[in-house]
Amino acid sequence: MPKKKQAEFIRFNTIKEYINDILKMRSSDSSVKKFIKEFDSAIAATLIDAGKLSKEDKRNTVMDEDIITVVEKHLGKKHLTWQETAEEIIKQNPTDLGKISKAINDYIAKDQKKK
Amino acid sequence: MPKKGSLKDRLRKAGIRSYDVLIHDQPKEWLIKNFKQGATVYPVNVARLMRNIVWQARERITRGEKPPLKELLRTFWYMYIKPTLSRADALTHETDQYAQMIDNIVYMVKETEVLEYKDIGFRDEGRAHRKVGANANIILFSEKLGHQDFLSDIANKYNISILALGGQPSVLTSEYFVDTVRNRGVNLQRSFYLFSIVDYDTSGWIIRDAFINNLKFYGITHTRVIDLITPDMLTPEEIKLARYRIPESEAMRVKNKDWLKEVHKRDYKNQKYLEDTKQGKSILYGLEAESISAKRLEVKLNDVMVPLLGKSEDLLKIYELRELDKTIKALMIHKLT
Repeated sequence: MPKKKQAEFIRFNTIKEYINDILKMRSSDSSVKKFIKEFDSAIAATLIDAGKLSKEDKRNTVMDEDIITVVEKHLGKKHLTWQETAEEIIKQNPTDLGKISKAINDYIAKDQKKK
Repeated sequence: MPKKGSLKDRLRKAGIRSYDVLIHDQPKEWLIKNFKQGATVYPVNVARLMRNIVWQARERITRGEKPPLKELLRTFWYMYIKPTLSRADALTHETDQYAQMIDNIVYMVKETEVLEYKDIGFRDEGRAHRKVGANANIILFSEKLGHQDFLSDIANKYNISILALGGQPSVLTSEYFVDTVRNRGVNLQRSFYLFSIVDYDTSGWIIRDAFINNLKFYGITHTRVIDLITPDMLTPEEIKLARYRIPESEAMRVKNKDWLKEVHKRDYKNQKYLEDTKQGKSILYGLEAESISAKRLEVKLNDVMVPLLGKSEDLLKIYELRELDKTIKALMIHKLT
């Protein structure tokens, strides 16, 4: 069975021209190809997850909420301040809050074993 | 060409269409002529024939041509499927064709979503083993029917929901259970706490996960599962007496490995008594749900379930935030010491 070809979302010339025209720099072909490969793969993974979310919600249409969630998951990871962390926690529903407590308790138990 | 994802499209993909005549009444020649496409071992495509008979029953009931069936799936098999297969020379004892019918109905319900069990009005043989209480979002469920009495005692005492699965969970039972919860006016989007009494082994957890998956399919998505059968519910001595070797057939090898991976994520302190190595070969043990007494299960439920009773979603959130606060304090102390 032939290997499924990676979808090509980003055009080689677009990146090449951006580096030339905006950054006023040159770029090697291989670096641009590497860049495109990584981002194409990230876009594909993000879209697949968005599709899964809409299917889970019994929809055949990918909506804003799916994209927002998956973009956050794949691309939006950042270091949160303690205040942002607290806000994120407070947003959670009761069952997920319980899961956070359990994860912390599990961490303590595991770490105590090491000591 | 029907629109992608439409009912017509899903029916077409499942090989289902409408017929003007009653399929189950037709002679052998008609059955072969209409269902030979894709047939391999038998003169007819058995799966396609089964699905079309089921679909036709649904069509007739929803159009009001026939009252809802109000029979068990097993009775449907004897009434419509088995005689038709026999007439088409497609009946065999070599495979479990009743199970095949169940699989095809599950396919129509869960995969193609063209059918709900209640459309036909199937009776649930597990009806006596499920109950929805005032605390509908607190669900105590067991893998085996043997725990039914215990479940009933707890349900009577705390007014919670209970369900004894009796093995692999039936999609039909899950559909009717969730319908009952919904009919009680419970918002399915709220938090549901599931307390499981399943064997501590690969199969037990597969059954547990299948049930959770069914609940999710029917709209109960915010769940937290608290397993009651774990090695930490027993002392090391008790574990050594109660444990049994988990079968290591080729078919179970990968599943056992996946199960162990999940177990290790939970970090039970007594798990070490359920793993052994002999002559370089790892041995895995499990625990039957019955190895933990009802008394001990009830003590645990008092500890982890009772504080959740009678709470609205807002109160549950406050309760969980307070619990989290205690946990964070414990984490701070742990980090400082």
